[in-house]
Amino acid sequence: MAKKKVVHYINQFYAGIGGESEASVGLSTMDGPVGPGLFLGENLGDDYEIVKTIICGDNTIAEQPDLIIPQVIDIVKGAEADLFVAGPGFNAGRYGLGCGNTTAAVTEELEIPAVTALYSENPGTDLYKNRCYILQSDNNAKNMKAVVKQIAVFAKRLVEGDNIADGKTEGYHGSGPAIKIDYSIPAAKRGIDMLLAKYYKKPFYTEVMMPNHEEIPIPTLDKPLSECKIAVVTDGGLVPKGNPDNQVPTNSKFYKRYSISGMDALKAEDWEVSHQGYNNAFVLADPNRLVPIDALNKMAAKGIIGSVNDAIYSTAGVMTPMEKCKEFGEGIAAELRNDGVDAVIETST
Amino acid sequence: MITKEIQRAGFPVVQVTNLTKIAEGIGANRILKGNSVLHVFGDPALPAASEQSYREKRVEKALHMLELMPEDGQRALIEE
Repeated sequence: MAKKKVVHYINQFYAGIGGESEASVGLSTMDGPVGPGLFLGENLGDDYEIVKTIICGDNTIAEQPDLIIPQVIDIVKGAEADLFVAGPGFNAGRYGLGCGNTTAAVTEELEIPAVTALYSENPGTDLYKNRCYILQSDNNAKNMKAVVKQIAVFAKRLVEGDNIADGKTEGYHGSGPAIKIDYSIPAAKRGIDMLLAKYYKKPFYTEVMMPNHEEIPIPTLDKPLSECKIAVVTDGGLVPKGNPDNQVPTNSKFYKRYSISGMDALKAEDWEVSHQGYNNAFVLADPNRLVPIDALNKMAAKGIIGSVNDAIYSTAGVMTPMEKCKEFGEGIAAELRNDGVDAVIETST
Repeated sequence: MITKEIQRAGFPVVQVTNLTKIAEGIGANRILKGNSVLHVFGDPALPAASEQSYREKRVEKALHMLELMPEDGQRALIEE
């Protein structure tokens, strides 16, 4: 069996040309593996051969992608590659851009298996994670061997046509390559085909892009609970009677801060709900079922918490795009800081 | 996502919801299961006074979840 041909992309540093002082060198190629390509070759095994290594200065590829990327494509095409690997680039910014850009371009234009690995905060990750496979690596290039091995295992599965699951399961950033859908086949047939493929354990690709959510370290209280000011945030659409800000019941455009100053509990006559995603009757009858101000005030009176923030934050979390929610969250966090809040109860319907 | 951005800003947040899997999937890291989608902190089946004390217990539980310290590598604290 002919060996699978691999083309590997690296920067001037890993090619041994030099560091920052050489970051503006142009594009060049060498036959065979270079630098980390040696590990890559070992890990891919005897059925694979790194036929070419593409080398480019980090400044060059970051500054002139329009010039460099088409040349990379031509080289990969000319080598009749079965697999393209870039990096890994860890947390190196311009190198990460190069790794992401070349991997995305090869994925989309040549439609051959292509993969790289970057740290989550590498600028190349966010730019290209929804256009190609970018495996999650840490930010420490000392782990080169482990990450190259991870790339090799994944790359071989791509070449072999193994079923690749979502990013969270597989350990890649974002949603991976854009999903191709053949709309000439009716959705019902595509759905059944997918189900059968799944049943028979054959490869299939979902048409639903799975957002791959990054993990955030768990914040902890920096003082005793009994000294903390607690706020309530809700996506259950609670608004003051008459909905003065015209909060929409779906696809929210904003959140609002509502004063509850002087209220021991939320009274049904003062509030209503603007949210079309659940039956609001129980909350309308007693808003504390959604925003438990009555119980929180009891907790403050008992000394379990320090105090209750004198305002709540509310929006309707129905069909609201992720990006919008992110914006709401950022805005609310800034206002909570102004309020001097220490911790939050968020209620979601 | 709202919870997540508030967490990112450094505030401990306990998310109280019935859709705990969704909250966990998105990355909320302190999650308490609510009574129902329709009344997270309530139970209309109870007489008013009992519902009040039920709510106080659940709120107290949520508050104490804010105090929990995650173990190394732990990504979420969940009480069903």
